[in-house]
Amino acid sequence: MSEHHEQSFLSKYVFSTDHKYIARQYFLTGVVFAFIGGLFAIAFRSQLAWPGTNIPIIGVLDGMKYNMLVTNHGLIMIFWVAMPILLAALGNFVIPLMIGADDMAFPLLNMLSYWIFLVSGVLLVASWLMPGGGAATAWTMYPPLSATQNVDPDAGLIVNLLTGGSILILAVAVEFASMLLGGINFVVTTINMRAKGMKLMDVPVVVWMLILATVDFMFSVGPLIAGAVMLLFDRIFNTGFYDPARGGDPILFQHLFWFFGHPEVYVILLPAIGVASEIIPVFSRKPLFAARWQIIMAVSSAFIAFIVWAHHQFVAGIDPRMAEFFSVATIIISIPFTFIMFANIATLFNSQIELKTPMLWALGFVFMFLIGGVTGIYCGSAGFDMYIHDSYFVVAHFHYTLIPATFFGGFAAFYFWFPKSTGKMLGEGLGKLHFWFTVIGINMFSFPLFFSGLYGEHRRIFNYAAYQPMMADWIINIRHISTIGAMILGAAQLIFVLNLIISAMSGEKAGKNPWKSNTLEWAAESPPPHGNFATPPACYRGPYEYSNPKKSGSDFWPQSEQ
Amino acid sequence: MNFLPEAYSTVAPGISELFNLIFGLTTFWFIVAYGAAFYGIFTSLKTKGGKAKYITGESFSESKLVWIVVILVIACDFWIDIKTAHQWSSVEIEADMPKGDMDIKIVGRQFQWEFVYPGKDGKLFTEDDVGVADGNDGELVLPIGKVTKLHITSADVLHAFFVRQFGFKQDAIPGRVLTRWVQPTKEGRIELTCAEICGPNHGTMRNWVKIVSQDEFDKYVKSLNSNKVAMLTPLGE
Repeated sequence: MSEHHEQSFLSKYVFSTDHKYIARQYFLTGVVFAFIGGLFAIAFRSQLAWPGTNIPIIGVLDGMKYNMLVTNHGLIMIFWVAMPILLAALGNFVIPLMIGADDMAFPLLNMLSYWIFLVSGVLLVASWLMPGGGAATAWTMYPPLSATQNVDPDAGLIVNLLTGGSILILAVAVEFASMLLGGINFVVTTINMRAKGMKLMDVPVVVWMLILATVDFMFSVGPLIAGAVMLLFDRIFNTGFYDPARGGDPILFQHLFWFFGHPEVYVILLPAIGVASEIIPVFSRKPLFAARWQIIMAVSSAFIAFIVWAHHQFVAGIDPRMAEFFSVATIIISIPFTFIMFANIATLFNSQIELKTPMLWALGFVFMFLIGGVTGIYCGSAGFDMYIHDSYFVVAHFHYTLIPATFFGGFAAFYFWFPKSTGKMLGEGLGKLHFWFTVIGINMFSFPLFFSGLYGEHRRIFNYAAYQPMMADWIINIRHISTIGAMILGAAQLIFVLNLIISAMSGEKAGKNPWKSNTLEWAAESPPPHGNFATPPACYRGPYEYSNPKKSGSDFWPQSEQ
Repeated sequence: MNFLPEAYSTVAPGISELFNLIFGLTTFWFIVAYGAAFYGIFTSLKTKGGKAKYITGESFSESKLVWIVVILVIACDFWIDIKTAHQWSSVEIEADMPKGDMDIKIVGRQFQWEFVYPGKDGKLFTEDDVGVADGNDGELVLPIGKVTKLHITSADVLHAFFVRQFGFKQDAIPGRVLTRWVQPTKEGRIELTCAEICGPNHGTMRNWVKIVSQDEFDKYVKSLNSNKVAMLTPLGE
């Protein structure tokens, strides 16, 4: 089980089969893409705020370049940032450690999943360099636009394959293959390799959430891959799956896309909720409120996630009677999350809260996500959605769900598990600065967009000169505030990089359990060696036994303590 | 406090009402959640020698407040669902639509809107229909107070018919004709935009809706008839 042998540099850092190093690889790749995606956003927001700005490298944005940046910003942030960081990096790091395993069930498969992921990232970047530029069809890739853009039906297969849109489809498909391999590992590891004595309800909530997210992903991704292959065929083999003139149907793609696309939201959200539920008890020294019910609610939301997809298509011409069902289901999905959010808030009462950086990020997630949650009701109401669909209201809404999940959830996890991963502490002061500037950034960027969206500002427009009502002074001011907010959000992340560098050079030693936490990973050394635990740990109780009066001497009771 | 645009149709005020309902209910719960969270945090900050209460929340007596919240939220959800269904069905579901006084076909094409009016026979989808395709200056002329059925379709890629003041949007889909309706309540000239990304010039796909009196409308259609189709480009299916 615990083979502590020396590894060469190459096999330790590059071709690593160690889940902890694969997690780092995913994380670093995700961070690189986050900076690219963020810069794309700042570029096109600059065009919106100050039309005609000359942007370094890209130049002045015209409609095509603007669409290309918008498209790739969305794709990068979802598939090459949120997925690798929240699912792959977090899952790889915490799952084996928290269940007391020495590694993933299939370490080689794990390595393969990362390298396939890297190939998908390379393909994505390659798609921007193809003749005609990257795909500019919005991240949803709706045909017929996405089936015909830069495609010449008379040219050969190779010419049409070497276009932004086709390579992008390949990149997305390869990325999903990678996440599927990773997902198999997550599920098999959690089911088979739990420490002796660890019952399912003793598994920490964050692991539960990661598994639910993985299962949601695995069940939903098939239809999308089928849809993407048909789209690729339309592009390179001149088939007509989505061409109405040849008996195809463009709406078919939307169903296949959103049957995956909506569960995907929960694939990102559930791990973040798990992180918050995991961290809040540690820093309030109190058991997680209604932990079992939180898991039950999360399971139910993971089911409901499969019957809400058409709320993305309310105005897309689906049968209006069907839309009523999806509207009700969408609004109902607020129930499990209401429970989880209020249960997390209930944990805070009568506790002993220490506002360390991981706790700030976890609470920040709760506060910011609540804004995204309540505004989801507006979007889920079909009757109201037919007005705000494709407007900046929706943009603001999903940035208030995805930024809290990806960045607040992600950073909460990062600040919390960094000492375990590296054996060093991160600076508290810089961490707090990073947190507060990020809070200012997200709110300054997203909140004003609710108002312009309500006024009817529709999105993906590179220049509003043709719409005089959208050139009113207050809307232009909103564009300025929002763009500056996005820049602050981006700049705040530099504080994070600085914090990392300082910690690497002169970070305080962390010790085994700096947060006095219960879960099994804190029984291992920091950083855990290859093989994780010196002796395989056993599990004697649930993960949230804080301030238990039966335990004398300390306010926590580790799972591994007899 | 109303950020919604001025209403130009009979269904737009419904959007406003729905907004007020959702705004009221969600803002209430938002304040409850924020209030509880801040109260919880500021009354529980770490004190020297203080001890947290050991509450797992697993028993109903401990968690009943959360359950009460959940049940009340379910009630609010259904309230919103019912109002939503009312607004939705009045615009979208054919059985609930008012009887139309006239029909106009609307065609989206990269990157303009085109309009087809009934010809002399007063019926749409017949041989003598007259079309208007006038680049981005083309106007959709509608008579005030009349229920006009809009038959929305596209000639190439997806577009979306969107007039803010009408309070709804509808995607235009090649190969399908979707019927929505509007009863304008105010005269004026307002923007008709495309709200679904349709290519590089999506940002300039703006036409006009002109709402006029019935007399003016009749004159307009007659002028179209006598000029025999002001089409600049062939109309899509």
